[in-house]
Amino acid sequence: MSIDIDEAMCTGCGCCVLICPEGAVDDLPSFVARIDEDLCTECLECIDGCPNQALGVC
Amino acid sequence: MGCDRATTLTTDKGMGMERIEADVAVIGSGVGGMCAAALLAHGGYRTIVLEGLSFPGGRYSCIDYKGYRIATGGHMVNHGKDDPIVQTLVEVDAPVIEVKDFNVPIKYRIAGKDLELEGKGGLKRIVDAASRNEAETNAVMAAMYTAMRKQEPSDELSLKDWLHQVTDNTGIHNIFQCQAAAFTGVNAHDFPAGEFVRFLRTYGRLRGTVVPKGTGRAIIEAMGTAIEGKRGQVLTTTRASEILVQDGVAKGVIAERKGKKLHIEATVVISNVGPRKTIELAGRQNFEEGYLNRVAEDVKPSAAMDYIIVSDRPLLDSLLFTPEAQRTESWSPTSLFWPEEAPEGKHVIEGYAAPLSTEDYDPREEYEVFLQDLKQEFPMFEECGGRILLARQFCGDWPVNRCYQGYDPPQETPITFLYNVGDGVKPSGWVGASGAAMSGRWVAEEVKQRLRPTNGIR
Repeated sequence: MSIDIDEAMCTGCGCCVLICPEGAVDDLPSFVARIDEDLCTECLECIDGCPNQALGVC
Repeated sequence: MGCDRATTLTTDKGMGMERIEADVAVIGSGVGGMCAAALLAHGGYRTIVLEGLSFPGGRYSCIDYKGYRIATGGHMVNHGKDDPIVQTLVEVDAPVIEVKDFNVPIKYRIAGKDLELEGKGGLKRIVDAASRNEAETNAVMAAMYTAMRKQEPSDELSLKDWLHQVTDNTGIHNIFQCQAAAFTGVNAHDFPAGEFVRFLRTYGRLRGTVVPKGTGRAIIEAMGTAIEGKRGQVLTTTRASEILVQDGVAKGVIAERKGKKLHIEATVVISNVGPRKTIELAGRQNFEEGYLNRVAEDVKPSAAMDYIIVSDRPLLDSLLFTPEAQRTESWSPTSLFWPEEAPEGKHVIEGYAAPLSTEDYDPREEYEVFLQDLKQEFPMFEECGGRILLARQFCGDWPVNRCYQGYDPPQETPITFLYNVGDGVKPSGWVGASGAAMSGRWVAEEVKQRLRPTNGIR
C-alpha cells in the first residue's frame, strides 16, 4: 500500500503537510504535495485531512 | 449520544445503511455551520453536524505542527463582544474561551517609514505619506468622507475605479489594495466600491478584534460541546455524498463514514460547503435555471498565498501592511498574542499575499516574488534565524472565502428547507468568519420561525 496524490486535485493548501505526524509531506516549491516514503508510516491521516480529496490509497 | 436508536434501511442496491433521524443536518463544521447548529440545538432541534475531514472547524481551526499551533485559516474574532461568533457562544451557553485584545499597533510601511494607523486622522497620515501633494491627500480624504457619510458609491464600480476618479497615484491605490486583499483575498479591481464602504462601516461601529487562545478551533469545539449538551452530534470523518430532495423539499443527507453509508433523515439541511458544492450534492436538476446561473456567475472563490515564518529573534512587533512590496500585503505577528502556541524562544509571523489575478496565476511564481518581498522588508531575516515553516495557498475548495466579497447569494435556496451558510453567503458588509457566523445566525432564526423543534420526541 502507498499514498497516491492526484496532482490535478491538490491545491497546495498545506493541510497534509501540517497533519502528518511524521513530517513526511512537503509542498514546496511546487505547491503540490509530495510524500517522503522513507518517513511515511501509512497512518492515512493525510487522506482524512485533505479538503480536496486529493489523496488516496493505491 | 444525541440520536435515535439506529435502524437499518435496505437501499435499492441491497446494501445496509444506518439511518439517523434529526430535525437538522448540517454539512460541514466551519464556523457558519457550527453557529447555525449550536443555535438550533440550543433551541431544542435535534441537530447533527457532518464533517468530512478528521478535524472540526474547516478554515477556522488549527493543526499542531512541529510544536507550532498553525491556524488553518482565520484565527481572530473580528469584532470582539459585538461579533456574531461571540454572541452565538454566549447565547448557547458554550464553555468560555480565553481571548486577548488585538492590541498591537497597525502600521503601514511607506517610503521606508513605518507609520502607525491610529486615532483620528490616522488614515490621512498614511495617505499623505504616499501622496504627491496636499491637494491630492485632501481629495482622497474628501472622497472617503462622502462615501462613508453622505453617498455610498455604486457596487457597479470597483474600489480601484472609484479611487481612480480621484487619483491615479499607485502608492495611494496600493494602500487601499492592502485593506481590500488582507481582509477578503479580493483585489481592489474586483472589489465592489459600495461593499468596501459597508465593510469599513461595520468595523467602524463595532468593537475591536480579539484573538482566542487555541485559535478558532477552541471556538468550534466550544460550540460542539454546546451542541452535544443538547443531544446533538458532531461527526468527523463523515463526508456527505448526497443531499436528498423530493418534490422541491429537502429530506436529508446521505453520508459516508469509514466505508459505511449513513442515511440522515432531516427536515432541514444546512450546507456549509459553499453554494456550488450544495448544487452538486443536491443535483442540478433540482434547481431552477436562474439560481444555477446566479451561482455560476457570482460565486467564485477568492485566493491568497500564505506563509508561516519562524525566527529565533523577533522580526515584527506590529501588524504591518506593505503597500510598496511587490505582492505581499500584510505581515502579522502571530506569536505575540499566545506565545505558548510556539516553541519557547521562537517567533512567528504570517505573510499574506493575494495574486494579481485571482483566477490566473502560478503559485511558484508568486512564491518567488514573496521571497523577494521577504528579503526587502526583513533584511535581518537570516541573522535572526528566520526560516519558512510553511508555504500554502488558499484557493479553490479551500479558499480565502468561497465567494468574493459583495457577490454572495442569499442563504436561502430554491429548495424548501435547504440553506447555505458560510463564507460563500456572507451578508453585505461582513467579512470572513464574522460573515460566515452572521449567515449561520440568520438561517437558525429562519428555521426557528418556520419549524417547531422535535425536542427529542420523534
